[in-house]
Amino acid sequence: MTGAQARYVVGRIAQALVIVVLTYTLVFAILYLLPGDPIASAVNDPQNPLPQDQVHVVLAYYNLDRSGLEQYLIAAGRALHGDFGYSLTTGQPVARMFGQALPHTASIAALAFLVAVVVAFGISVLATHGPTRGVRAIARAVPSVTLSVPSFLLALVVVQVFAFRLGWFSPVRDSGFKAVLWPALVLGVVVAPHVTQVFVQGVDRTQQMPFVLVLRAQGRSGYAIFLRVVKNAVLPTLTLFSLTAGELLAGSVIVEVIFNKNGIGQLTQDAVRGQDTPVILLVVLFVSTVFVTINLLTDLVYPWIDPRISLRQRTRDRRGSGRGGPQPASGDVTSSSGEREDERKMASAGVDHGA
Amino acid sequence: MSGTARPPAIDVRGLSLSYRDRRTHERRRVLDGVDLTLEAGTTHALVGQSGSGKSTLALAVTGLLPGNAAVEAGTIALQGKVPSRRELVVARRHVLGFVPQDPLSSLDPLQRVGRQLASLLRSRDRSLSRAAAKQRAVELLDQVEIERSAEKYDSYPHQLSGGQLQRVLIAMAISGDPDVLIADEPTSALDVTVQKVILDLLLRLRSSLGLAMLLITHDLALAGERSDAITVLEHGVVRDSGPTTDVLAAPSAAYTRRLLADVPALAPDRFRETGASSPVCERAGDDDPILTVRGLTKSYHDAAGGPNRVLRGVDLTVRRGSTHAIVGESGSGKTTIARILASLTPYDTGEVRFDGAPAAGGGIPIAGPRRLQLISQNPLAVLDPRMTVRQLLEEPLLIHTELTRRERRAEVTALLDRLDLPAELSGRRPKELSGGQRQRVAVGRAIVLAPEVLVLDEPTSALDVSVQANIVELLMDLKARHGLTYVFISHDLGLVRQVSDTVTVLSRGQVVESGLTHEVLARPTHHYTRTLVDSIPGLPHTTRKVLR
Repeated sequence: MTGAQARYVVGRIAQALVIVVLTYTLVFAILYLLPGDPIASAVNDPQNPLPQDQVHVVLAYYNLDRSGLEQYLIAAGRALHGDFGYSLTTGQPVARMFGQALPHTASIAALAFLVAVVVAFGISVLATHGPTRGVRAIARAVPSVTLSVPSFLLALVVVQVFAFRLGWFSPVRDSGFKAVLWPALVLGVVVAPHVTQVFVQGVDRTQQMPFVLVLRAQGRSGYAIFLRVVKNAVLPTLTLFSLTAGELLAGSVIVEVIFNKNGIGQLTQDAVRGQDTPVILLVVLFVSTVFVTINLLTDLVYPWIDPRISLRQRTRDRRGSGRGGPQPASGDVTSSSGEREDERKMASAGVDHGA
Repeated sequence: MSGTARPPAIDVRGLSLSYRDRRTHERRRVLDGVDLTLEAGTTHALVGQSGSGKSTLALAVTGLLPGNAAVEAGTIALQGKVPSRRELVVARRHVLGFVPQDPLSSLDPLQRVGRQLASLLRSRDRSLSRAAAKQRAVELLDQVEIERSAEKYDSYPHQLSGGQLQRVLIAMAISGDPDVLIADEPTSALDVTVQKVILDLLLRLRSSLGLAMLLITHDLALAGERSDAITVLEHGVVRDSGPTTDVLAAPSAAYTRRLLADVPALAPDRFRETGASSPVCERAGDDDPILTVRGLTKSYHDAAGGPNRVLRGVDLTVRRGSTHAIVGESGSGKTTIARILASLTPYDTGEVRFDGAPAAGGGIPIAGPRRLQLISQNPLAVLDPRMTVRQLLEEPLLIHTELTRRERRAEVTALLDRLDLPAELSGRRPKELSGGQRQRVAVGRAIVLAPEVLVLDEPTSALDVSVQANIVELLMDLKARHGLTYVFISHDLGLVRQVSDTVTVLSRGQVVESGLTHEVLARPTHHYTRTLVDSIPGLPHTTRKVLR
C-alpha cells in the first residue's frame, strides 16, 4: 500500500467514526432532550414493572437533574467504557441484555447471508445461462415473485409445515443448528431478490459489452467467458450485499418473533414499545456502526476487484482534468488513469451546451 | 493474388439473413442474397453505411450471430468448406482472427492486458506453461510494435491509449496464427493520425503473415486506398463489387457514385462549385474580423490538483462571413475553444473580441445567444428527450423573444421548411428521429434566433458520410442565405478542405499553423500538419480525376 492509499484508508476510517459519533449524538438528543422526559415518565409510570427500590438507582444513575449537555457527556463517557446504562423496564445493564441478544441475531444473519448469496447466484445463473429459454424465463420471474412474498407469510408457512406438520424442528425449544437454519432460510430467501435482480442486470449488461464478443470470437470456452462476465457484473451487487448484511445484523423482528428467537430485532421491538431509551440508544449505535463498517469494507474491496478505481483521493496524472471515468462505487473513490486521452474526449463530448 | 490453387479464404454465396424483433417478433431482413469472395492472401473491403448489414456479415462468418438472427438462405464457406458448428468454434481459434471496432471496450477492464493475451494463448495450448505464455505474449506485443512491451504487459486497459489497445487486440487476433483477419471498422474509434498508423500495421502484418483480410468500413476513401477488392453494401444488398480500381474508376451502381461524391476527401471542391462559399473569403481574414482571440490560455485542475494546460496561448482571427476551421486531434483543446467562445467555460488569460468589443468577463457572455450559438457533436445529448421537435425549436424563441404564440408557431413552421424537415416530424421526440434529423433539429435550435456566428464542434462526426454530406449542404446553404460566420471544429481534414476558407491547426493547446485552407493543406509547413494531411485517406491520383 502506498502512502496515498494509507492516507485514504485512514481518512475513510476517521470519516466512519465521525458518522457513528454523530448518529449517537443525534439519537441521544432526540431521546433525552425532547420535552416529556421519557426516563422519568417511564420509571414513574405505575404500570412499569420495575421494583421501587431500583427506580431510585436508575434515576440517580441518569443524573436527570443535570443539564442536557452534561447528561450527554456523562452518557458518552460511560459508553466509551462499555457502560450503556440500565434498562428502564428490567433494570438490567443494557450491555448485558444486548450481549444476550446478539448471538441469536448474528448466527441467523450469518447463515441467512450465506443463503442469500447462494440463492441469488443460483437464480442469476439460471436466469442468464439456463439451458432452455423456458428455464431462463422462469428464473427471471422468481425474484419478482419472492419479492412480493412478505417475510411473515413465508415464516408462518415454514413453521406450519416443517415444525408442526413434519416436526423437523421445534419452534419453541432451542434445538441448536436446526433452530438457526430455518429462520435463516426464510430471511435469506426474503432478502435475496434485490441482489438477484441487480446481478442479473449486471450480467445482461456485461454480456452486451464488446469484450465478450471478442472473447467469443477467439473461440474461448463458455465457462472461461462466464467467469469474466461474473467478475465484471459483480460490483453493483457487492454494494447491495453490504446493505443486506447490515439489514440482517440489525435483526428482523418478524422472523425472530415467529421463530421465538430473542435477538436484536426482538430486543428493539420490546425497547421501543416500553420506551426503554438506553436500549434504543445502544441498538442505534450498534446498527450505525455495522452499516458504516460494512460500507467501509465494501469501498476498500472495490479497487481490489476493479483496477479503474483507486484507493487514492487524488491521482498524480498531469493530463487528467475533470474526467468522468468509470465510477461504479461511491463518489469518494477516484478513477485512476494513466495514458488515456480518450476519456477527456468522452467527458467533453458528453457536456450539454445551453442553446 | 498469385494464381495458386488455394481456395478462397471466405466464400459467401447468396446469404440472406433476418433478425426477429424481440418485442414485435417481426422478421427484418438485414442481408439479402449477398455474395462475397475473399481470395486467400488479399484484402477485401466491405463498405457500407450504418445499418447496411456489414457487421452482421462479419458475425455470420465468425458464427457469432445473436440468438434472434436466422440464416434464411445461402452458404458461408471457409477455405473451400462449409464448416459445422463445432468446426466453426475451432476455426475461431485457429483460422479466423477478429479485430473489433471499439478497442476501448473490447478488452476485459479488470484484467491486465498481457494476462489476457497469455490466457488466450494458454486456452489454445494447454501444455503451454505460464512463463512460456508470458514470453510469447511479450513477443506478440513486440510484433504489433508496442513500445516497452514488457512494461505494457502489466497495464490495465484503462491505462493504455486507443491505439495501443487496438495493437493489443491485433496481437490477440494474430496470436492463433490465423489465415484470415476480419477487421470490423478497426480504426473508426481512433484519432485520424492513429488510424493511419494502425491501418499501416494491419496491412504490414497481413502481407508478412500472408493473411487474407476482410476489412469492414464505412469509409470508401479508406477502402479505396487499402484494399484489392471492394464490395459495396446498402440495406443488405450488394450494390457493387469487384477489384478496387475498377469499382472506384467506373462504379456501376448509382449508390456507389453517390457514396463517392459524399466522401469529403474525394470531392474537395464540392461546395465551391455550388457557390456556397463566397469569393471574398479567398483573402486572408485579417480585415473585418468578427472574432479575434489573442493569447488565450486555459488550465484545468486535474485530480492531483496540478494544472493541466489545455490551451497555451491561442491566437485566432475569424473574418465576418467566412468559415474558419479549427483542426486537431482529441486532446488538442479544440472543444475547449468552442466552449470558451460560447461562454460556457471561463478562460484564464488572453483576450477575446467579438465584433470589435472586448469580452467583459465576470460571467457576461462574449456574445449573447442571439449573436453566437454552439452546435455540438452529439445532438442526442443536447436535445431534451421529453420535448417534441416543435417544442425544441420553439424554446429559444420563448426564452429570448416576445413573440406571440401564433408568431412562434409560424416561425417554427418556416424553420422546419428551411431545415428540410417534413412537417409531420414536428410532433416527434429526439429518440424517434434519425441521426441526421436530430442534428438538423440541433442546427434549427441554433439558427432560430438568427445569430451571426455558429460555433460547430464536430457537427457531423457521429453521422454516416451521406448524412454528413446532407448536413454540410444544409449548413453551407444556410450560411449563403443568411451570411453566417462559421467556426468549424473538426478532426476531418477532408471535410475541412471542403467547407472552410481559413484554418487553424491546433496541437496540444498550441497553434502550429494557420492561414488559408487550400494553402495550408496543399503546402503544410509544420510537420504536425503534414502528418494530419498524410492521414486523410484518399484515392490514387488517377481515380480521383475520374471522379470529377
